[in-house]
Amino acid sequence: MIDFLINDLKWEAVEYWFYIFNDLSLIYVIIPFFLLELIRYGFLNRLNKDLIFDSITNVITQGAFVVIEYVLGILFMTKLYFWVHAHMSLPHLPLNWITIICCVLLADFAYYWDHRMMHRVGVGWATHTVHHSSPHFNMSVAYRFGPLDSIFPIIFSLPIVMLGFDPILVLLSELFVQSFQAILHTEIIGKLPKPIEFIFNTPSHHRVHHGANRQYWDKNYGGMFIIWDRLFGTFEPEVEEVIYGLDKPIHSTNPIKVFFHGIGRLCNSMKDTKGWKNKLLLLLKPPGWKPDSQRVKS
Amino acid sequence: MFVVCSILNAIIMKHTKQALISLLIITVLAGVPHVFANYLQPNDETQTVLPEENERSEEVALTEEKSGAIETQPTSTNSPLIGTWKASYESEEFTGDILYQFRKEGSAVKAYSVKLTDENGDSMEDNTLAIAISSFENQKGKGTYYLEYEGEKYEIACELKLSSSGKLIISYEYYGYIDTETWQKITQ
Repeated sequence: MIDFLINDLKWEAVEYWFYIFNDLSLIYVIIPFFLLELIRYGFLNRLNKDLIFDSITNVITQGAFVVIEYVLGILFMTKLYFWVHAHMSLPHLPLNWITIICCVLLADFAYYWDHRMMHRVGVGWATHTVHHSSPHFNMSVAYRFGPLDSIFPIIFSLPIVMLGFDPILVLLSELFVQSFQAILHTEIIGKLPKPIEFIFNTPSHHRVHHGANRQYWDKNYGGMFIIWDRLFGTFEPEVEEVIYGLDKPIHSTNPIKVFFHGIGRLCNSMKDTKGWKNKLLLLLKPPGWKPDSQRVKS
Repeated sequence: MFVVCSILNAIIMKHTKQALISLLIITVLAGVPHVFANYLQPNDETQTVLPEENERSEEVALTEEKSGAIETQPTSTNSPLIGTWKASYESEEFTGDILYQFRKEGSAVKAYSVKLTDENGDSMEDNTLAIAISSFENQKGKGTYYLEYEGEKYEIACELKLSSSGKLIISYEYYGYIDTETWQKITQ
């Protein structure tokens, strides 16, 4: 068993398996599931214009996100990752199953903290709020991204590269976590058997995460594993029926408005806040934070 | 800057327990592959012995055991290859210099091309596997050379020889075409 885990693997084989799980899952899971969801919406008389436009908007935001990701990648991200790997890293790890498993687990752990930061830091929420702004919950929502969503993960994945993991493996592991996360965006699947619900993030746990119900705010940040939330006190089970979206809905399916509404709201808050220090604090404090003086007035 | 630091400090002070648990998780998840890479992999002696050399090695071991002389095998930790090397090329595909870096990965030693500088002085960073060493002792070794020619990738068996002047001669043969490269070491 140990021999199997530590035997060197060929990059071609590893990239092939990640390609099947990461890239092709769109074809064999996401699209079929989305079609099933559309049929279900039809049966429930919920298939309306708003849902169709909302889904199209989700795909458009994904397109904008990919363009930003590629531009950043070409400009500096790729070079930064390889530079860190070459100059600021622990001894490079060989490519074997132990390395891959630990890298995926670390990527999932990094996802937890990245996700938690996006919810609890003003500038993070300004971009991540886009993902939560849909009043619907289906596979297309998984692809609803904000303009800065590709920047924050860098803070958490670079340390993994510094620990000796190959940058390409880190990237593939992050995509693996994202692909796993994508298939959780569905109302079709109810609760899964208890051991699975205890360890893994499931559609039920992720519905809670998208809930606008007060008790569901800032809960269930996990990517693949829900144990991180259980460990750090951010777990909430699905009990009450989930109402999706934001506490202050945007009531729009305009892709430009959806994509930039979080940044716009943050800018408005900064404009309404007095003092440079307070304006800067708005970027770092949790969403909804106000300076003491303004809080007393309101 | 002070604002950022104080907020970070507050976050850390509020969540010391969570920070410690996170540190523990990261240590375990990063430590396990390093432990496996450094201590639990087959040792270098096993890796450097090629199948055709098995019989000879057994004979040598027996002779050494009898004579009491135990020769220390060079391991990848103290491999003379580790460090940065420079090679110059002049071909239709590329004319210029390439910097290579031999690194230790677990128990294996591999060379990566890290910087390419063309004849015009334009350079680009790189991190492509060039050579994986399968055995290296007594200034000679064998490995796999990873080549790309006209868009096609090739894995070719190669032989390495470290000359007394500190030059590394790499020779390989593919499709009947024999080539030799000379790499000059520039840093440890």
